[in-house]
Formats: sequence, C-alpha cells, structure tokens
Amino acid sequence: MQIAAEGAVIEYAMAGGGHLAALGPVTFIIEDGTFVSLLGPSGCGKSTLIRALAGLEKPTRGSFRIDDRIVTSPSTEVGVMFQSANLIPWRTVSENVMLPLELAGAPKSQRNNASKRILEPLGLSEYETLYPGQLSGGMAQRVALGRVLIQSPDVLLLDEPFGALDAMNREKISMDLLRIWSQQRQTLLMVTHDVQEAVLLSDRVLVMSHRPGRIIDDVSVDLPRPRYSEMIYEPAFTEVARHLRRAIDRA
Amino acid sequence: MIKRIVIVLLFSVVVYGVSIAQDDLEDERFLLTFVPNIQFSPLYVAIEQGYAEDAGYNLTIEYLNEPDVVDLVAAGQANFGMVSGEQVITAVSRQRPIVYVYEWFQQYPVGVVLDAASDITQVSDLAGKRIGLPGRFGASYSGLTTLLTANDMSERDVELQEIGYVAPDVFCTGGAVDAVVVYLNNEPLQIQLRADAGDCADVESVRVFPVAESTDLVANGIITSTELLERDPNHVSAIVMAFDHGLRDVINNPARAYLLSEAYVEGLPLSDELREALNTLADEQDAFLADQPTREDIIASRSAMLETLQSTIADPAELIQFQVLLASINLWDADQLGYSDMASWEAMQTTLIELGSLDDAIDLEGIFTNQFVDETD
Amino acid sequence: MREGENCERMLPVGFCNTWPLVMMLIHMLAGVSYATASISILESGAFLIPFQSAKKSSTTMKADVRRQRQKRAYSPMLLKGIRRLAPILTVLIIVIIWQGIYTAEVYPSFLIPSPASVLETFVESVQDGILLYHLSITLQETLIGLLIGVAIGSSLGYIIANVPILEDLLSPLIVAFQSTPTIAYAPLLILWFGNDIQSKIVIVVIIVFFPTMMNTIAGLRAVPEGLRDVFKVMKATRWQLFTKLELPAALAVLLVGLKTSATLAVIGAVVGEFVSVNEGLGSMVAIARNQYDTPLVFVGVISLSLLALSLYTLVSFLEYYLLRWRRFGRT
Repeated sequence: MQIAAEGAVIEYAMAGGGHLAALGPVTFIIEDGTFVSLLGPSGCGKSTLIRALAGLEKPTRGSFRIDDRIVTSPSTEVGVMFQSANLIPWRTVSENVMLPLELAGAPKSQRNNASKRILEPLGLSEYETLYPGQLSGGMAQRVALGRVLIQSPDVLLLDEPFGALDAMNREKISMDLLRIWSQQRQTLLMVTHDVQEAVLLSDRVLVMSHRPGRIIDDVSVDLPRPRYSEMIYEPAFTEVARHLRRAIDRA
Repeated sequence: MIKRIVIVLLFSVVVYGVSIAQDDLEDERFLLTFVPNIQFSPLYVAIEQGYAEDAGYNLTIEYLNEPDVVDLVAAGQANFGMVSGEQVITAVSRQRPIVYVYEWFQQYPVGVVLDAASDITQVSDLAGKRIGLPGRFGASYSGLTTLLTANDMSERDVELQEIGYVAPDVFCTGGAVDAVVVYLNNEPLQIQLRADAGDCADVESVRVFPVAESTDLVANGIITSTELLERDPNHVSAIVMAFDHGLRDVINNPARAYLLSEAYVEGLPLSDELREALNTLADEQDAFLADQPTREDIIASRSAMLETLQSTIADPAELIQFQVLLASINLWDADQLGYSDMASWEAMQTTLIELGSLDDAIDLEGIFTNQFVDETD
Repeated sequence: MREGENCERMLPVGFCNTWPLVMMLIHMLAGVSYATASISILESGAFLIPFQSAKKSSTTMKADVRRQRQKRAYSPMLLKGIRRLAPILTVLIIVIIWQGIYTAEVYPSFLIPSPASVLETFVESVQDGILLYHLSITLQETLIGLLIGVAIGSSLGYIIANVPILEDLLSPLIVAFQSTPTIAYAPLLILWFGNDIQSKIVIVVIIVFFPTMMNTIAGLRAVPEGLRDVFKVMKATRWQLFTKLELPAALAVLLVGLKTSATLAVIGAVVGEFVSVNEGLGSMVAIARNQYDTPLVFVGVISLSLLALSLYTLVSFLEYYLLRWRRFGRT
C-alpha cells in the first residue's frame, strides 16, 4: 500500500485564541513495500504526522492518503506503534498480543494460535504468561510490536518505537524488525532521531525541519539488502549518514 | 515563646483565684436526659432563683442518654441525675449502685392518644386495633404493656406498629394507625394543635388514655449514688430541697417559670407580646399566692392563666410550650411532692418482668428512699 | 503458572496447591493491621505504577526475569510467619490489658466487664440465636446497600467522567450531601423510608455511593491516553473501550475504594439502627445499653468490628484475585 501526504497542514487552536502550527505543509509519497525513516529535531511534528496517518488527528488543510483512501479514522490495515509500549497492565503478554484479534471478534483458538505464531520469532514464547509489570523495556516493546503485527497490517507506522531503549537492546530489536519486515514487506514509516538506525534500516530517509515540520530532504539509501549491523562501518553508509547529519543540523 | 506561656499561666492563675474568691460554691453536675426543654423548668428555676447557690452549690446541667446518666452517677462521675423509675430497677438489677431519692413525675407520663370521634371509648376497645409506638423498648412500651395488662389484655390482643419518634406525623397522616403511644405532656398537644389547624387527617379532637389512670407506676425522679447517700446525706438533702423549691415555684407560678426558663431553652416561643402577658400574669400570681391559696385554687389559677393567654395571643403555636409546661405540672403536682410508694415500684417491676427486660424480682427496699421528702414537709 | 513454578523451588511438593491460599491468608491477616489506616488514597496512587514500569530499561530481558524470580525466591518466610501472627498478638495484648484494667478495678465492672463475662454473654447470645439474628439483619442492610450504592456510584461516576459539565452541575450538591454527617439526616431518612430495613439500606447507599463515584471518576481519568490511543488505532468500539479498558482500569481504584466503603457501609447501617431502634446489631447494642447489659454491649460492638473486618477482608480477597497483575513488577 502507498502512503501519501498532499499539502497537509495541522494546526492547533490555542487557549488564548490564535493557532499553533504543528506540521506542514508536507507532501510526499511512500511507495508500497518500502521502509522509510523520518528524521527531524524533537518537537518538529513527527509524532503528529504519525498520529495523523493513523487517523488519530485530522489535517487542518490538505490530506493524508493510504492507497486511495483519504485518512479520516483508524483502519485495521494500519498498524501503529508508539514510543511507549502502552501495554495493558492487567493482561499477560499473550493477552496483550491477542488484543487486536479479540477486538475484531476472532475466536479464541484462532487468537491463541496467532499469538504463538507471533511471539515465537520475537523471542517471547517463554514469557507469554508474564504481566507487563514484569517485563523490561525492550521486552515490552517487543510485545507491542507483536500486538501490531498480529493483525497483519499492510502499513506500519512506528513512532520512535525504540527511543527509550539502551543501545544494545535497541540494535537487537531493530534487527528483528528488519528481519520481519523483509519477510512481509509492509509499507513502513518509522520516526527516529537516530541517524545510523535510519540509514541501516531504510530504503529512504525523509528529513523534517523545525516546527512546523516540513520535508527538507529526501535521501535514498542504496545499500544492498539484506543489511547487517557491521554495514555502519562501510564508506557508502558513512556518506549517507554524514549527508543526513548535515541536513538535520541545517533543519 | 516561654515568656508568652508564663504570661498565660499567670493570667489563668489570677482568673482562677478570682473565681474561687467570688464564690466558695461547690461545683455540682445535674444530669438530665433528651435536650433542653421546658419540661425541665423546675431545675432551671432552682438555679435562676438561687436556691442551689443558697444551698452552697454551683449547679450545671448536662443532657445525656438515660443509661449514661445512670452509669455516670453510679460511677461517681456526677452526683445527681433524673431518670425514669424503670431505668432505676433495671440498672440496680445490673449492679449499678444508685438510689432514687425524689419522684419528680408523680404520674407516669405515658398514655395512648386516639381520635375522639372513633369508636374506641375505653381501653378495652383497643383490642384488635393498630397502635403505633416508637419501638419495643423504653417507657412507652412499658407504659402500654401496663395499660393493656391492667385492662386484662396483652400485646397479642392489639396490633403493634413500630413507628419511631414521629407519633404526631404518623397519627396525623391518617389511616396508618388507630392510636399512638405518646408522652402525655407534649404529643397530645402537638396533635391537637394540628387538628385545630385542620392538618391532622379528619381528626378534630383527641382522646387520651393515661397509663396512670389504670396503674400507678413509678415515674421519673432524681437519683444519686448509694455511696454519696451513705457518706454525705446532707449533701443529697441540700440538692433535693433546692430542686423541691424550684418545683414548687413552677407549680405555683408557671408564668414566672416559663420566663425564667428562657435562658435555658433555645427557641422557646417568647414574643414581646407573650413576654408582656406572662410578666403581668406572673406578678398577679405572686400577689395571689401571698394569700395562701389552697392547692385546688392554684390548679384553677393555672387554667385561668392559660385562658387569659389564649384570649390575648392570636397564634396558638406561640402558646404550645406554655401548654406543655402546664401539662407537665399536672404530671408533677401532688399532695406530697417527691414521694414514691412501694406499690408503684412493685407495679413497675411486674411490668418489667412481663416484658422480659428483668429476669427476676429484685429487692426494692433499698432502691428508693423518701427520707428527704419527709424533711421538706 | 509462574507462581506455581516459584512455589516448587521454595516449598516441598504438595504444598504448592495451597500456595495461593496461604498468600491469601497472609494478605487477609496483614489486612487486619491495615484496616484502620486510610488506604484508599495511598493505593490509588500506586495503581499508576504498572503503567509506567514498562519504560524501565535493562541490559537483557532474561536477566531481568531471573532477577524477578530471585527476588521472590529469597523472600523471607520467617518474616511472613511473624506478620501472620502479628494480628493475633495484637488481639492477645488487648485482652491482657483489658483483663488488667478489670482486675485492677480502674473502672467499676458495670462500665468495663471482664473478658470472661463478655465471652460468656457471647456464647449465650449465639446459643439463643439473638446475635445471629441481629447480625443477619445488619449484614443484609450492609450488603444490599453496598450493592446498590456501588451500582449507582459507579454508573454516575462513569457518566460524570465522560460528561464533564455534569460534574460542575452536580458537584456542589454531592459534596454538600457527603460532608453532612449521616447522623444529622438519618432521622429524616427514617421518617421518609420507614422504621424498617429500607431506611437503613438508603443510609448505606448514600454513604457508599460517594466514594464509589469519586473512585470511578479517578479510575477512569487515570487511564493513560496512550492506552486509549492503542484501542483507537485498533478500531475498538465504544463498548469495547468500556469493557476492555475503562472498566478494568477503574476496577483497580474501585476495589481499593470498596474496602473503605465496606466498612463505611457497616457504620451507616449502625447509625440507622441507632436512630430507629428496631433490629440489627446497632439496635441490639442500643437495647443492651438501655438494659444496662454492658457485656452484651461489648458483644455487639465486637461483632460489629468483626463484621466490618470480614467485609474488608472479603474485598481484599476480591482485590487479591482481580488485581493479581499488580503484584508483579511493583518496586
């Protein structure tokens, strides 16, 4: 599926009258099956963009599109992951993962099978009866990822999903994500503030300016796939990374 | 800071010293029940007219539940209180060391009230009727039981309805009960007042069956501890006589008593008009009393007093508390104030045993004494 | 179940089935010592902790879990044993002091009877059925009142949490009602609802309703926006949002509040029974007091505290079971 923004602007009404411009105007097209990262300074409206594409916010002007559908409300074709895992504390790992199927009214046996199928590649099989309170941050994000994947979305919107994790956990989970994506090839848009992560994972990186965020750079990453961690030491990688670093600094 | 404390301490010492110097009166607590009320005017008068002070006591009044009055007196926390005779019997049966020294209410203050127009003309007509009472406890229950027993009936012959302390409301709603058990000096007046205003179903006037007309039951009176009675009978005598003086004043001149009670009873109806009328009546009554009238003359003078007031005061609600006082006086007044006889104690004990609140008869000899009553004559 | 696994490491085989029961007992007895404290506020704050705990970072997840297990495996059994006995010890000490006061004749025996005479009266009142009869009445009033009060309180709380204007409209009324002592309007309620059990139920409902409502509102407002977003992006219906998110989230705060409400409910019923003396433990105490039967007064008062304590414990059980997730990952 294709993701697109067409002259989209988001403004918030302020308490004392007037408007706060949060985003835009932005225009872009993300082709089906590509992995795109969104880089930008904090507070530039990246999260707002993700929320708008997820159907949680409405553009003041312009529009967001997923394939031919103008986004006005959430859709089960779109999976969304936030910076915090947002697991439900009174549900176990597998119960959390099953939630989307439960909401869709899937029968219990189907939910159980799907949960096992999803948890296995995420390395969570052993922990399915734990409660979120017992999980580390990395595990919690894995569960959150599993919860998104279980509904087999065609589009993945990830808002700094690993931002709160330490470097080691972060690398492990992003490589897992990459592996899963290369098998399923969803259209994926991920917000990050980590240049290396963006380059290592993506086909293309968009750079946003300060608020109100606009797309100020659009860089293709022509590194071969499959990617692996040591690629960060290759000259081609460094070149793209340096380019992006400069673009952000200009933003 | 320390300086301030020292000043406060010094100040309080000085104040305390002055207060001691002012009166070498002994502090004394008198425990009453319920809330401040015109029915307690004899005690108010005894304080206001200085009878307690003359006897050497600075009397303060507290209002508590009856069992608390009994236990505080029994435990020596207070020396005097007023409770009903049945409480005295029950309490003594449960090892409370108290003695009843003065029967304030000469008549048991409970009775049954009903519509005068109904077909119930005597107590025996109550058979099969619905009778409301606060609950199966206390003076109203004892009183009703005694009344029924005296008329060869029992609780089974009537239909008892527990209605809480809202007899006038239930009775005047109409249809719920045929009769209600009430305190004679208050509730019949309240019901009559409503009936006169047309606010009491179709009742125009009420009929009352006082328990006392069937049986002489010991009623409310003054108690003290057996310990004090043995140790210092003069102390007991002094308080009892001060009270007796107050009670006589009230019986002889209710108008004066009503005015003197103003400081004690919050919300006592006393418009300028009523105050003026009462003042005039009180002065006239004092003059009348100077001629040594008989008890019958005084009874008649009280009725005349009410008639005079009714002709000058337009609002009947203004007079209701004065009427309560007069009705109370009728329960208090007797040839020999304060005296209780063994028969009335025995009758009460019989009732208590019948009700099951007393397991076995106790020795009633030591439970009361008339020794201070005889002194007053 | 993870608890079972832990169990097998710590206890001989065969004990494991009883483990949850033992935990419950410990919790119950610990509840005794908490009973007097005002817990509601403290715990409703703690309720938010699990929502945040997922954020904590750690090196590897396996080590993290292992640490969790070790923490539990090392929990000192001796300390738990002492905690289990502590409430019994408290009761014992109170009885000893009581007997001491009685023996030393600090107060006359009609004011403070001997523990033995109270026990004797207790046995008598159980044998002739008086105690159980009055207990059953008070229990009925309390439970029915609790049920209705919680139902009304939580429904109104739900509505108010979703329609803020209602809060502005109703709060002066509700606060005024709540801050008025029950004893002040109890006689009116008796007048309106009769001398029987209904009026006492109404009093219980009024007492229970307010904390339930406030706790429901607090519970619903404590649901993190992030969780709401998760449900929204999954296209949850309004009903699903309610049953699968809001209700369980509010339940945590509600149950904590229910513990206090349950004891308040007993107080409400007793206030009613004191104002209109009829039947129930409160009336039994009032009548016993009126008959100068101090041992029976003691029996009534002790039974009332036991009733309140049992209700408290019952709710604690419920909380222990329904909120078992909270026992994990709390630091």
